[in-house]
Amino acid sequence: MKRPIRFYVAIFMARSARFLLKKLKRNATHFPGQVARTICFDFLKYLQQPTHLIGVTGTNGKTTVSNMILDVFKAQRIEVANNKLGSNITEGVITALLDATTFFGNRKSEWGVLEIDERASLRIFPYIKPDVLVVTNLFRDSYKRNAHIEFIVDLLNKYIPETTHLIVNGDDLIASMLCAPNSRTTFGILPQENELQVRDSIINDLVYCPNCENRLTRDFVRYHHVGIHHCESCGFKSLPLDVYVKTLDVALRRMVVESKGVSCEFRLVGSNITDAYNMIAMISVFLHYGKTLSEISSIVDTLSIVESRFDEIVVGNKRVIGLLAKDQNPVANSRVFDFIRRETSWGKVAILFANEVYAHVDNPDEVENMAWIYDTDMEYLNQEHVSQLIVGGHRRYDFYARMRMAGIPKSKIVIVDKEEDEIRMIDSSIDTVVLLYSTKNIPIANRMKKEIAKHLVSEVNV
Amino acid sequence: MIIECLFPSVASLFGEHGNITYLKQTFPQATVYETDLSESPRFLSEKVDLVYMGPMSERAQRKIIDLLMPYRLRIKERMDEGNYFLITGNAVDIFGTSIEYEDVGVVKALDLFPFTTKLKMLARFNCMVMGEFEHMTLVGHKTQFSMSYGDFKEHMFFKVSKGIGMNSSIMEEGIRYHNFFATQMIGPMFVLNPHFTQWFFNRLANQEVTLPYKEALLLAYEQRVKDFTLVNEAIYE
Repeated sequence: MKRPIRFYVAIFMARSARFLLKKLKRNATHFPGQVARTICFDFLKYLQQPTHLIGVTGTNGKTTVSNMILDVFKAQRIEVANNKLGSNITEGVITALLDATTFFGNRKSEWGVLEIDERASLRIFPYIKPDVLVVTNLFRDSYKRNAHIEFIVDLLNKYIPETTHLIVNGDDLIASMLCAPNSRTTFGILPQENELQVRDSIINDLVYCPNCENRLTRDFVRYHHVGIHHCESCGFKSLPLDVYVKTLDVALRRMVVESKGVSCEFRLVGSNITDAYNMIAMISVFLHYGKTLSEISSIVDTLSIVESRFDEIVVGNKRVIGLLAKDQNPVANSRVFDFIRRETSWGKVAILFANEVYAHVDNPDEVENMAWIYDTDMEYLNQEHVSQLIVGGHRRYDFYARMRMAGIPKSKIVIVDKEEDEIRMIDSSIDTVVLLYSTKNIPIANRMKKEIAKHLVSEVNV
Repeated sequence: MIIECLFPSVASLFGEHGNITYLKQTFPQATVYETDLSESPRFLSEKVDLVYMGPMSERAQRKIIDLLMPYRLRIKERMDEGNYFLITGNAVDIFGTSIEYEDVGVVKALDLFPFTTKLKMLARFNCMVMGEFEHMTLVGHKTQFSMSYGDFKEHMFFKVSKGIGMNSSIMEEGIRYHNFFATQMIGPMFVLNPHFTQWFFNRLANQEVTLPYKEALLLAYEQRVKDFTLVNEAIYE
């Protein structure tokens, strides 16, 4: 492909920007891409992609799945171009591919793994053609950016390249039905013995049959629209699963995965069913590239989940658990709340909400649209073992109102004016402190976790 | 009290489900119908005190126009009879003359009010909204692909003081016609605006209504009014 002069100017400027920012010890993962696009808007078109390119998109779990794939490559000592440290929109993808190419943009890396924001797909997929695209799941997300799920599905259907093999969540009818002409592998988790169905989610993004528009029958509901469906009117039904978790034991952190009649036991990295979904997505990728289940399993034994997604500090007989609950994303929060309501073994729980309220550093001039908390299943937190819900920050009264709507007794809700007071207000009888945080405030959350642990140490010593 | 929520399986996006929950909590004795897309709206054939419909996808918007079109004159009659309605988000567009979509072109709407709506799918618009209605300050947000054009002066719901009205050049927001209230603002309206809700529910029930956890709603409302007042620019990306 003949490249225009503006591409060469752009690549020179972008690489210079990246070099200088790195020298200044700055995060050089977004700005170089921005420079490149400013000079050459279709910069990606002229940049050669790795020989094998894996894309990961979806509403929730794409960072974890991308990181797991990278970890498996790393364990095999295979170098992979990626945007792990950068953004998942066009600029981050450009910066990642700058590292994967020679000075003038020719192919250097054999492998690439790109996390791709579904909203940015219209600017990425016209130029970047992944061999494989993992779609973790598709739910309604930020109203501001993503509007509603049909909008996102339309974008993906329009822009995902026809040549790309899809690895889709087969338990999610919206994700699994994407791009009908494309080849696909479906992954999922079979309904488990005694598995509790969650039929009380506020959000259900798929009520009607995609074929005939009659109401779908929900045979098994894991949560929201994830589960097994069929249509009484036209016979439409969920796709069969190609790779699936046959048995899942969250307590023992083991799962048995089966594909094409072969099964293998895996260590479950994490302790939530969403961790199992992330793992089965990753496993499906490596099966696609010819690895066997047992080969993948032995590599997985060496993995640990990315710390920013789930981590725990134990202080005596108490503990602090950090949970990522993405801001403006009702389904992500509902999943976390469902997880908490099931964890009755945690003893008396205090929840500190820091997942939205500290985001104002980004744009102090914006008063956030808090409508998303009315799509979030706050009702799940109305449990006996959840003893305290502590909220601070700019939108603390919105959380308070929503908690009251959820039927949470006033006596359990603590509203504080200052961040440091959140920690001070933790009751001494609490066994587990859960800190909810957003992608925007990971450094603040890390600091808070340590301060909570310190607070609990002083409580233990008293 | 009989309340009908029209098509909540598709018309309750952007947290507007909160309006339905709050109605149920405020009027626990009320009969609340949640009408499915496969059913005919009940308010057309029986007495319903309040009809509520919230925001939806563009496909759902077209489907609902098709469903309601045969009843457009009956709907107008209900409005003229003083039936209460609260219509939020892009459900409002259904009551104009037409909607222009980028992919399917112009679709005729119910033509009950003189405005048209145009969508730009890659230009999502977001802003805060603050305005005055009956000496009450209303607050909420807009999150939409569309702008509406036409004459809104005659049946304006409220005047915007911060943010935009039915399009970015005007401050007239929504429609009020007898007891038909419609705004493209989302909130949820009843939860975010306790003074308005008190006013609305008192009229609807024809008596003083006790709002559940009103003190919590007032705290959130007062903080939001304060924040909206301080913010320089209401439109955000």
